[in-house]
Amino acid sequence: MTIQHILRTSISALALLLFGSTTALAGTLGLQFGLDTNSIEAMGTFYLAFQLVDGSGTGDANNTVTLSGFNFDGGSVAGVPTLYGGASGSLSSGVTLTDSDPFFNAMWQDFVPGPWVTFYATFTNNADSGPFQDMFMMSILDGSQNGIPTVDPSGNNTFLTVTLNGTVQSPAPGVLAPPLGVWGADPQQTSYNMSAPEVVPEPGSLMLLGSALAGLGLWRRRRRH
Amino acid sequence: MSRLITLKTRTVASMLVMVPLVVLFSLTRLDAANPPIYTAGQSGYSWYVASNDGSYQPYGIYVPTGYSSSVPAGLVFYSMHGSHGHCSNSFSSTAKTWANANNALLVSLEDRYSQNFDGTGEVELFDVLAAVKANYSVDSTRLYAEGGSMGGHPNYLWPYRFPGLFAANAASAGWTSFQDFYFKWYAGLSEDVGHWGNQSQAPNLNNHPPAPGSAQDNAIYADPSRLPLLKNASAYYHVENGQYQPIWIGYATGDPTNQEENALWIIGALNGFGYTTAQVYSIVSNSHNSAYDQTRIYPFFTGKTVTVNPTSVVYNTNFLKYNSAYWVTIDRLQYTNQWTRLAANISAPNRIDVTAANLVQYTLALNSNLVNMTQSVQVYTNGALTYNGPAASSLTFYAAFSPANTITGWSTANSLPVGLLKTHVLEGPINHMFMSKFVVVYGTAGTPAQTAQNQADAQQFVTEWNDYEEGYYNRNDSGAGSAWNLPTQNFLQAIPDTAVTPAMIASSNLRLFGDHNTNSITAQIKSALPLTLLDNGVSVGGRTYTGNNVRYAMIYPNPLNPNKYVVVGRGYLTEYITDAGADSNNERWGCNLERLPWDQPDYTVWTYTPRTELATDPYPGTTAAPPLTVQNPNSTRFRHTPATYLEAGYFGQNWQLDTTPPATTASIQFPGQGIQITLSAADNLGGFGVSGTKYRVDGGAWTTYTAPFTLNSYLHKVDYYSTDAASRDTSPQGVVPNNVEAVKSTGVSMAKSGFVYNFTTKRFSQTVTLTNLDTTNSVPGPISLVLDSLSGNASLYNPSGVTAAQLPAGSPYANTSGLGPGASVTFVIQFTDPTNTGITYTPRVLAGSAPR
Repeated sequence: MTIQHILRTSISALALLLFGSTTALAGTLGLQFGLDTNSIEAMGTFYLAFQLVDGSGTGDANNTVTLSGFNFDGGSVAGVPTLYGGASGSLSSGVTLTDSDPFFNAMWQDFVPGPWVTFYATFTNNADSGPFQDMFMMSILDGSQNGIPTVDPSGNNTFLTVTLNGTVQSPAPGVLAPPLGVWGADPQQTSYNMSAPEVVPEPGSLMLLGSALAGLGLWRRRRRH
Repeated sequence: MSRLITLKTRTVASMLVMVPLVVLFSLTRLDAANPPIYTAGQSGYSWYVASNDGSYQPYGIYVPTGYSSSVPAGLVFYSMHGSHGHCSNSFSSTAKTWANANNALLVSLEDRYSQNFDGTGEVELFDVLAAVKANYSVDSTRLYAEGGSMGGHPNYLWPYRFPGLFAANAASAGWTSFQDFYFKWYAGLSEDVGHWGNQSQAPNLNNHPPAPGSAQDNAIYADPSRLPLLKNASAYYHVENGQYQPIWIGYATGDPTNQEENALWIIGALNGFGYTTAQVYSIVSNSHNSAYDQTRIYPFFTGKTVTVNPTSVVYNTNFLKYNSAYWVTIDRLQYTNQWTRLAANISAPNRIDVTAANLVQYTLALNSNLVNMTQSVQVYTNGALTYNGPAASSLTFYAAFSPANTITGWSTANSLPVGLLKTHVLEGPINHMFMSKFVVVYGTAGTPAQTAQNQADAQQFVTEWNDYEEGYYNRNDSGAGSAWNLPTQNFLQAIPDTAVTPAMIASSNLRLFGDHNTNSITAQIKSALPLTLLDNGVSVGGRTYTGNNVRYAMIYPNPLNPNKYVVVGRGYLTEYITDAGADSNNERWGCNLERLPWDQPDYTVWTYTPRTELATDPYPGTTAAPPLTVQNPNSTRFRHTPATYLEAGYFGQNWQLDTTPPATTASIQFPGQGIQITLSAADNLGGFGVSGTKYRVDGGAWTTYTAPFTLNSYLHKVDYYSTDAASRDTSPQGVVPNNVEAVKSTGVSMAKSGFVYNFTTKRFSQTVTLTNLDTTNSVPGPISLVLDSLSGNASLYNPSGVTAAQLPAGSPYANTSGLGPGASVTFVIQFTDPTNTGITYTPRVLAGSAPR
């Protein structure tokens, strides 16, 4: 069985965990993401790939995404990063993406997966002029740097798409809190609108974050046993 | 001496007048084989044999007192006369004193017969020059000419038509461009619009003519079949050729015949070229030719010699018949009858820079006075190195063409189309056949009645020619012709087709009267002619003219001897013109259209009956208004314009009717918020050049294209087409116009996103939204987003097509559906870019069903 086949058959097992929000920096929005990589653990090297698409297509550099605190839960970072446009850094030191290039702001770097990948992300959230907004995307590539297909309804085969449109999104019915956190049990939903940076987390949100972390820990323990 | 028999064809009255004259001059009878030659200090008439019709023609000559055959003498064509003038054996003391002091012959020309010293008059110039050179020692570097009125005209024209022939010219009161002279004296009334005002009245000579090229000039109608010839006969259009031609210009400010503008146009043109070659003498007077002053002219000639081997030369022409200056020759035009310019400059030792416009072949005649013939020369044509090789006395260069008929370069290799072509020697128009040896032939192959008609037509021509061309030499007149007992009258004779010999065909042009059913020679060459001869008419490129009274004439290289002309004709043009009566000297002038240089192009079809009487109307469904490009159909006066031209025109460079229209292309730009349409056209090699382009928007009125235009509403269909100078039509009848459908960017707004990279498909995607900003009208589909100038590292994935009809071609495009009023459509286009370095393009939006 090839890695590609394994990935295809186990795609539903890959899940994204979006943890609760924080407002540590004014004007920015911080999130912690968790990705269940259990299904590809011990299958060799993979890549984490990020891109920040400039919605205006002009390279207006009006948004920045900062990724930090990568934790591979027993896995590890490998190789060196590939960087394009307004991307800099690495999985070890942290990654910064700015939509300063009208064409391609992206980075990817190989890693050896463990059961989970978690990292923090902070976003600015400024709307572009025109109908198209900046988008932050995350993909997983196999060892040959081919993107793992997903059920991303946009067809872009991402695990995560965040649209930075400067608007406040009300939580959908049944959703715990804004900004929305999604468990891997709902892989169909990979595209999110971020809340405006002025949103102040309520105590309930922090509770939810804590509940999520607790849930994550419990779930991991059960998986390992 | 059999030619003397022809004397009896004159009227009895003429003979009665002639007899005492013969008696009177019998003591001085001269031998036809030996024209008189005069010695130093003598003057008198002499004669020569005309090279075109073989007739005996006179000229006057004065031999300077110090003349010696061992010392070449200069030569002045003395006091060239006005209309109706003749040569003279009398010379002024001013001229003779100057001639004696400067060792110059004085020669008086006849101007057979008031043809403005053009056409046959030009033949006369060179015939007389050759005759004088044969009998006297002539210094060719000191040729001069001077004259007034009609004699002023050639002294404007010749120095610019033949640069390097004359050392100096003096022109007084001559016409210099057709805008004045032609409309006063020659044009049909239909061509007088805007010039004389009331067409029903005689011309007002005091009306000032419009300047060449002025708006008023452009508003005047001159028939396209004559315009190239009129311009060629007008000195104004050749002035640039005269950078080394000293000219004395005299004019009276109130000259009512050839108004002062004629001189001022030339002076202005000379100034425009920066030439300081003119000495101008003007007087305030209303008297025609009152500025003519030999006391000023002859001192102007003193000491002047022809410029030889100038290092910078230029020549302008619109006919190959006149095609050279000094050491450059124009061999082949790009567009027939269009103005052509060849300039050459030796800018550095053995480097020659050539500028060539509207020509595809030229020759440089180099010599050691121009370049070092032992070393290589570099020739640059229009800025590009064309030749780097040995110097030679003759170097010919040829243009290379792209498939789009644009010149791509020059070299000494000839890749131009070959075949029967118009040349310096054989080019037309009809008049040119009468400038070299010709024979008049009438057909006898038809019925007796048809033979009689052919003979009558030929005899009409011959009679007019003899009356016209003999002029002052006619024995019925006093003057030179009565001085010798030479066979001068009715010299030209028509012969039956059965009498034509191979020797005639080999040596002469043929003027054939009678169609293929009535003239055996016409029958032999019928299939080779560019017009289709019919049993009762003619077809011109599919336009059929039939009827008993349909007549035609065309010139063509004789298929039996392509080195000579043939003019095939059914009927004779002036046969039904009534205003062709003889004047008091029994001289008919105002007829014989075929011999005036500017009267007929390569072919003419006419009838003396109203068009409605034609058996076949070539313009069905139209009124009896004048057919296209023909002269006035309703003229009640004859002014060198047949009243019933049906069609007249030129053959292309390949001696065929030019039926290839110019190719027209459209390009679309989106500058800012507009859509800009640019049209361009190019004609086929040897065609007549683009005369104009028209377009219409959304089926509206046809508009003449002058510059790129911008459309203001959301969607347009633009039709366009071009015509060349040979086109008879001024409307697109029968023409399938090209068209383009385009959407203006302000009418359909476009928004596009940045690029999303799909790591799985390895493709970049971009989202595009098109919105119809018009809330009333729809934009029909398909709508194509065309990606012009797409960066080379990128490709449009799965394009709907690639542009071909809508320029620029080769651009991929993606289709989407049409848009209702105010509607939007969003779609994703995908690219591959293996380099990940960037994707750029210029968007273009097309809509509708037109081919992309």
